[in-house]
Amino acid sequence: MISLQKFFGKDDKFFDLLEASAQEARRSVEVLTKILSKPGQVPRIEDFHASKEADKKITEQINEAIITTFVTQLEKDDIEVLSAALYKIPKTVEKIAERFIISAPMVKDVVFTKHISLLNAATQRVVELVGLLRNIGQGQLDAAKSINGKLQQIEAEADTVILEIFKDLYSGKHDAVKVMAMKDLYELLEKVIDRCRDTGIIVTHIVLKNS
Amino acid sequence: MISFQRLLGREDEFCALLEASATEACHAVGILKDVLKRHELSPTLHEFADARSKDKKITEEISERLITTFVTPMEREDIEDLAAALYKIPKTVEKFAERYSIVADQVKDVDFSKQLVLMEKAASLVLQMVQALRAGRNLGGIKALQNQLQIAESEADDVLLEMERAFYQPGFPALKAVILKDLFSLNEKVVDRCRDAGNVISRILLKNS
Repeated sequence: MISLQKFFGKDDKFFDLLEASAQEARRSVEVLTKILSKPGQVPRIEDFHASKEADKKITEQINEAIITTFVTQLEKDDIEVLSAALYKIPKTVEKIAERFIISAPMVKDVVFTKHISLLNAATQRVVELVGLLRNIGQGQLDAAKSINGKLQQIEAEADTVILEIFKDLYSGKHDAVKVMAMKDLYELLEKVIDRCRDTGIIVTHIVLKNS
Repeated sequence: MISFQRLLGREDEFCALLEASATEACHAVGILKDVLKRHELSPTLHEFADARSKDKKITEEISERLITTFVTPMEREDIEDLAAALYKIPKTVEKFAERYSIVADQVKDVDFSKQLVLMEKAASLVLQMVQALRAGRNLGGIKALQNQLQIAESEADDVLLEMERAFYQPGFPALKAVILKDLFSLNEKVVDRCRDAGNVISRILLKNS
């Protein structure tokens, strides 16, 4: 059955598109981390918009291909769910950039080093995981579980980091409006890592189903 | 068809796991009640983490069994949705506990009893609904429990509104308003998660009745 599906399924197209989507997600995070490293500079929203739009086009291409392709190696539902999860990463990154721009005067002295390293690590793992799908069924389960484990660890670290940050924000040392602005930004940063974690769960689930 | 599925689908195994997950959710709310009753300034978060982590293991076991079981008693997606909805209850309780732990000193004068009653009631109703699902899919009984759950959720909305009213009074400290808004919203979210789980159970029952 599977080899028949492979024969008819033109799977390369889906793997290419999913990998491209993961790369776009990674690219958007790279742009974001560059900006977070220099909080004094106000980012241009166009840079993030381009990444999100590129990913949106890929997601639309995937959705169209799902309709026009008769047989796919991966279940159509799984492809759809994964592409939607991938798209949410640059979408949330764009949201961060928007908030960052409007709160720039308040966050210019804030250091985002911990988040930068977590965001980079998380998106790198997502790209690795999506790359496994091309060789699905060839003993990728252990690799998927291992990368997914790392993603879960990154997500747990992000939770710890945000709790420490909130402790400082709620300590009374900061102005209440700044607390609100920072809380918004940090929650969105955590959300990007959550989105990466969600993608990891979906890919692992797909690998498990097909192993 | 349904009885064939039940025969081959090891229905009780899945239902037992789902019930264990709902029990963990109740347990998490129970720990929270103790902590808030004692006005602990630094609650031990490991108890919440343990409850959530136990629930996570149950959810993972359900996911793995769904893949390795040939015929399932209910649709796979439904079991998966219910397991995910149940897991979110202790997860949200843990999040509240974490946030509470960092500001306990600043909110020691705040009374969480109204929210606690509703969280406890909602989690217990979810457990009863899962047990009813396991016992034999009594549509009328489960619908009645779901209605109670909806009422609890609506009451939680009212409580949130009432508590937030104070924030908008002149002179209310802004930082405290931010902190409490965060905590109260998480309280409400726990009840919302219970309502979501109840909706999934109800949908499963309707589909299979």
